[in-house]
Amino acid sequence: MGIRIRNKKSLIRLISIIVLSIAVLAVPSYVWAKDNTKYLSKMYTSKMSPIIMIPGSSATENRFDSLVDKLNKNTRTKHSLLKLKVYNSGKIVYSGQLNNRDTEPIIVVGFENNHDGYSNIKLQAKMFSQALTDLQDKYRFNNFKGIGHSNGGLIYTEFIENYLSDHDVKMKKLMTIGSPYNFSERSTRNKTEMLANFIKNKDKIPQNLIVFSIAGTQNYTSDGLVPENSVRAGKYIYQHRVDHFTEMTVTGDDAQHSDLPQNQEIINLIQDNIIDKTNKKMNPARMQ
Amino acid sequence: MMRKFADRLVWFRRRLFFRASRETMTILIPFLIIGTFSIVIANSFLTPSGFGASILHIGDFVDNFKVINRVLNLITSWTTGLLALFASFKNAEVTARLKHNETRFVGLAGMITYIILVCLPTGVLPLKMPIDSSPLAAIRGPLSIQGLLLGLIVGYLVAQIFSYYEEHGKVGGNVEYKFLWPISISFLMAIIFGGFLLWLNNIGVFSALSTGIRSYSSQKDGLMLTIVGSIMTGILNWIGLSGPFDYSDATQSSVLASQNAIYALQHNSIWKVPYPFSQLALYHSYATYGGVGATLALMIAIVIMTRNKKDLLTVRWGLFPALFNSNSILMLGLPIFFNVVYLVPFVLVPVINMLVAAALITMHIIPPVPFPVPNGTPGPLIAFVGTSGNFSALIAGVLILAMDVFIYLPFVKFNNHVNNIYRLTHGKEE
Repeated sequence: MGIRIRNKKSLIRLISIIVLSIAVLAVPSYVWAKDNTKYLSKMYTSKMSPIIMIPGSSATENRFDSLVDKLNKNTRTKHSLLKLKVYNSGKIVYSGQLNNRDTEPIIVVGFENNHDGYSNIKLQAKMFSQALTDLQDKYRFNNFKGIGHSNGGLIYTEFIENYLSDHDVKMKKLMTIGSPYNFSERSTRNKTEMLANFIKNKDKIPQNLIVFSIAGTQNYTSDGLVPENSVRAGKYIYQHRVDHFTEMTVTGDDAQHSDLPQNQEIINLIQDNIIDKTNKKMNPARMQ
Repeated sequence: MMRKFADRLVWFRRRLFFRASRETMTILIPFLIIGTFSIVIANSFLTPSGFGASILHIGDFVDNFKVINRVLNLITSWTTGLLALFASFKNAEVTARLKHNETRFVGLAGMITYIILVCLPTGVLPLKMPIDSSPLAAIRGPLSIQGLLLGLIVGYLVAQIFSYYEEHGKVGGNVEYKFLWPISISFLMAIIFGGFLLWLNNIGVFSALSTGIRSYSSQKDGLMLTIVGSIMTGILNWIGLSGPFDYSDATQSSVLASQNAIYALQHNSIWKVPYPFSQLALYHSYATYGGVGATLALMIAIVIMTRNKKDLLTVRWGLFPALFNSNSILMLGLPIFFNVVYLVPFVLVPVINMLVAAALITMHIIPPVPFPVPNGTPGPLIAFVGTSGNFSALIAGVLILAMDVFIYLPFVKFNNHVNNIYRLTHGKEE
């Protein structure tokens, strides 16, 4: 084929631009592609599935220490415990340690701002989202389970509706313990702003999430602090939205609001419902 | 024989609709250039998950440019995003001028007619809604460059209605009252035709069509399907409509692509994946260098072959976006739209590329492409990035690009030939 090249200069220029830009971009692309594959492969092959706990208002990241102790009692596999404290400045301080071979560690996320109230819960949910990003960067898990005591359950709900989709992670289960979805309102007819917003945004909750809402009772209406009806209001958010929503009531000893995390009945519920089956098999505590 | 064919093409190009359309497209080009540059910069460099930010690890830094990113997107929405609307306006005016008719009213009439026509079938009343509320998204497509052909046709038809009225209607009185009738008739026709489309939509014709196509293309995976999709995309783009595999979803990971990725990760190898001939693996990785129709090769062929200053300028302006797979400047500037000479390579080159790539994949010379790539990755690098940096994929990509240049060369030559005849027989109109 007789081709007469009409614009030698332009051609050389064009080809050099194309080749050069491809060559220049190829180098960082190569690095990125390698990095990205490594990242993806860590994500997909990761067997880690932590249980991430959020304490209620006024509590710190040490809130669940005795619960974890009780969970680990009589079990062959001990869940390691990692604690995070998120400061208002965004700084995150880690304490405790993850056992390398532990596939189901417990991670507690506490906040410097641990105050009550809807505006604080919004802030805490955002901080939790940042903490989760940090945790995923460090440990590359692709799924987790959540437990929230009291306001911790509200923080979780706020997080699930507003931030969960930003993360490349599957949230498998959520257990809220004595979480006052309607704050201190005794009647669900008076919906607080928070509850109204939770209900409005319920479509953002992933349908495959499995949710347990646990209420404690000292008398027939309250656990001494939170009205039972306020805990029950969770059904307006989760029922008919997620595939499995279970409500449970715990009575008897240690059913007072602040005692709930140490309540043996609740620890049994956590072992039955939240902890992965593979771990349970090796766990003689439930076979007694 | 070729001579006759060329004459035939010139005859076509002399038809009023094509003459007017070419002139209209020329008018749209500066706006298109600004809109295209804006979106390429925004997508490839200022989006945290985009190509530039990803590979340079400046995602967090780029996050600070949210406002600039949004402004650039705004510019694009009001330029390329409304290109078909502008086309309906300008084409009505240009047609009227070429027919030596009154031009002052026809443009606006064409534009409003077009709005009525595209809004009616979707049941959207844009004036009542904020601009980015979701129902309006339904008419974004037809208003943007994807609806160019429709816009041109509507503008042309409105000009014809005006012209019919000027020739046959009672002319008299002041202009502002004189044109009330043709304007009303244009609107009425848009309402009737739009109503017909709305009725089709209501009885479920469109949704059945689109779900049919979608379920077909997402469930099955095979070379045949990807090739058919590519041919459809090529032809539809050539007439100014968007096809099933368009640029916008080039990097969106489809179900098949993520299954490929998971398989590759589980088995720690990219060589055997369940769907080696998926859209991402073949079409986006090897068939769209420079956008639909592999137009990067066309640009090189033009620079080799042509002396036409205008075409060379178009290549110069089109190069930057084409490196990031956006070829709309070339589509209007050369033009490729409705240019019969370029139809054949525009549709065929991607198919040949995919066949070559599929053959190389089958022979295990290059791996299939399992991993998603960042938004706005340059065409020749998609396979390289998507295979986690496989060098044979990169080299294969460059060789395929060179092959494409040779396929395009004779067509560029013939196009020059047609242009010359056009210029010789009809003066210098362009």
